[in-house]
Amino acid sequence: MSRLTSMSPEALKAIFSPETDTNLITTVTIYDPDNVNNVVLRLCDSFTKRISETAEEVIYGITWKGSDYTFLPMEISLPTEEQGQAPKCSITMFDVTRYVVPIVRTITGPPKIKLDLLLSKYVEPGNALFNVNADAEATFNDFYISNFTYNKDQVSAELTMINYEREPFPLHNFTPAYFPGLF
Amino acid sequence: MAYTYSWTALSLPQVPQKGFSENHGALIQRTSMDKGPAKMRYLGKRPSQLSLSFIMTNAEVATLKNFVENTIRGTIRFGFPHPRTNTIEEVRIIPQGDSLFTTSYLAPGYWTVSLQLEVLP
Repeated sequence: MSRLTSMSPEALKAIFSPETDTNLITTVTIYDPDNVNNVVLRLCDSFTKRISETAEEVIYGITWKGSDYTFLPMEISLPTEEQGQAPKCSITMFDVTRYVVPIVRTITGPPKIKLDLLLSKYVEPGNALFNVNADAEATFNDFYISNFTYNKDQVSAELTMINYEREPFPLHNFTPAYFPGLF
Repeated sequence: MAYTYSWTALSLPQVPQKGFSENHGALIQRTSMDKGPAKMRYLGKRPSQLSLSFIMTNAEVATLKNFVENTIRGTIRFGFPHPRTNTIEEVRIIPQGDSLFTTSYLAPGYWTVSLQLEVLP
């Protein structure tokens, strides 16, 4: 189904209107590769409030569906829709505060990742449309991070979907089809 | 408002005697079109900026220099009495090139001190 039919009129206005007072916030959720029920990082590319503050720093972000997403400037290329290849997507996070790198260093497998697009009005305290349980306008899940690269300023992640056509099946099993002599 | 340092705790002028200007706004993306009016998009909040000019004595300049260079080290936010609203705002110094504030001679023992601050959203 086309995104234009699944997104709300408010979201379409945010994208196409010549004058728009709202924008689409992209949230990034990265799961623990060993346990997909654990979330290791929740990030967003814009902010509407302070989610925490200490004497040393203020952390901006959004609160959506009971979770805090930390604001980090990001460049996101949304998934491509090309024939003959699995969709690809990439994220570059400008991690000048060294928030992401220590977490990236602990990851030992390809983590699952979810991208959500939601209207900033829904997560902006004081707005008439404020509703922290609002649904995302678009969700891209089933992606995995296949590669991380980082330097002192930025962290880049390549996202790919598993291409089942290229995966051996069943994987790493001694089956009669592959090893008839064993059976 | 969990800041540690405050301008009001220092022996410094609490209002900018020499001048004050403020700019307000939001983070807007404005895209020019080949024809017709530009398109505009709201992207989020933007810190408002204060340009302040004080008259300070030699001792007050030394206090400010110590505060900026050794206490907040040019980066840490602090509470500052907003000249228009008279409320305490959380601000940071915006460096102007390589300098955090500038002093210029006014009269024997008196200096004009200029600095720019941003009010954190």
